[in-house]
Amino acid sequence: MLKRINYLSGLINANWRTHLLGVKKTLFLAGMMFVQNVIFFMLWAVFFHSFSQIKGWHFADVAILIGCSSFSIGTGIFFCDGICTLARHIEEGTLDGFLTKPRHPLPLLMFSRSNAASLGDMITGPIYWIWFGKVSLMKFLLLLTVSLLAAVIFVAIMIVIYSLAFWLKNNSRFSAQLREVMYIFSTIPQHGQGMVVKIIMFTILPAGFISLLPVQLTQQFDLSLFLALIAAAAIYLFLAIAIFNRGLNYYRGWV
Amino acid sequence: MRAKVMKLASETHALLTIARFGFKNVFSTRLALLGQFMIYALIVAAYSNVFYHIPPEQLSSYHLTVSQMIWYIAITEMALFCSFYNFLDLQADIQSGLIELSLLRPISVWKLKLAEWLGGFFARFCVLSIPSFIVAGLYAGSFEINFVSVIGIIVSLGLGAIIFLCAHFMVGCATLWLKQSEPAYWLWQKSMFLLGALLWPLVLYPVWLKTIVWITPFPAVLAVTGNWVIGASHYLLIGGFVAQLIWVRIFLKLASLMNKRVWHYWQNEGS
Repeated sequence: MLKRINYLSGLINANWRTHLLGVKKTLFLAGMMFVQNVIFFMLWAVFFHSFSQIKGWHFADVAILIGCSSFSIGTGIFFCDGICTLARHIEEGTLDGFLTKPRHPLPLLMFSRSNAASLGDMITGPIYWIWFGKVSLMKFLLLLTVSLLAAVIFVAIMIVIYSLAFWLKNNSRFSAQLREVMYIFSTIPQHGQGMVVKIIMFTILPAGFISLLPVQLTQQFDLSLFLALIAAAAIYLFLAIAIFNRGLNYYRGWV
Repeated sequence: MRAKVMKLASETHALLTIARFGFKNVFSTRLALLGQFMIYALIVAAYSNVFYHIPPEQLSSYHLTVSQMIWYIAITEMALFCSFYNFLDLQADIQSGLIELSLLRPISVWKLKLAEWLGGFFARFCVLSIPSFIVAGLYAGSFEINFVSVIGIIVSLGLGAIIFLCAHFMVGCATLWLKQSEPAYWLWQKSMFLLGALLWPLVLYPVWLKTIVWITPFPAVLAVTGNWVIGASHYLLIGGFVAQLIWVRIFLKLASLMNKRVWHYWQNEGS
């Protein structure tokens, strides 16, 4: 177990060092990401300038929601951006390089790349929570915890989305589109959605777990909801690994 | 004179061929097209459900209905979905040095790229427009379009596409100086979302922001097209159309200037 932790921390450390080599570039990309997040968020400021609420949700609630999605997606992409290269590796046949290693290829692939710009997303979340959401210290810590769980769910669903490339050959764009829809969905207020959209948001594109549950937990803490989030993280991760392994077996047979 | 006409005819023919190539290229990734439509439908569905929860008295104070709000986002999102991350194509050409080959061609790179991208835009429009109208109609519960507004939407969409694609060309060219053009694109894209009024009409914007918005090119890309379904006045529709024509002219000039800058850069700095 200790060896595994050492291995993973070694991979994360390698990525971190890459960013340290180009601090200016990292800061530039993170800064630009932060600025674009703020510009997008202004759309909601305009909305709430005109309308007082959406089904009981106010500006602060939407700020917390977008903060949660930014933080969890940012964390997922910062540490595990390598998973977004899976489709390309499959198409180009470069996945073979990962298969020749003695360890399971998934962690190596996930941590093979880190996205500097996503640091901007990670910063966005806490700023929105404090600045616009005006959350207390306890709620802040709660948001941090639930957003980390949401980050696990996000990474798991990314593994599933990009593993589709094992079967859908030469359609890496489709996986990228599904990722985009995850981004978009997780920034839309979800509490007033119809049944069809809600089912999608809590199953195949679990944006509900990434941003809706965290907001509901801060509005009123509910232990069963919190446990549901932990269970969802575990289930999605289990499913993701299973689907990746199945795809990998298919790939091995295919090549 | 005759030589000029011949040259123009041959250039037009070449650009049309490239546009046809761009058009056909879109159909090589059918699954991506389907994915694009699914995403579009989900976005319209999700925002429709948000609009249905706006307090009705507040919405009517802006002379808007939920149906108009849904149609507005359906049209602006369609304009967005018909376009693509074209700047990445140019970025890849610059990073790999392939741009050098394009610079040697008798027709300017910006014209070639614009023709190819417009072909792709038109192909996506052909695929997405009718299903998009159906999705909007289903969620809105009524059709906020008539024959005149459909024509208006098509013309505005086309003009907006030219502005949008010229901007993509310039963002792509920024790779020469920035090494990576994504950050420039993020700013352009999010500014377009906010100042182009992607999600809700400009009527809802505070007066000071509306003033700023109209001195930028962004409403000419999205808001002007969306205005056709929210019962905007004739004055606003014609004004929007004139603004689009002006911005098209400016952006075509800017793209041509950027093309010259790239050419000079390549001559002076090399690969």
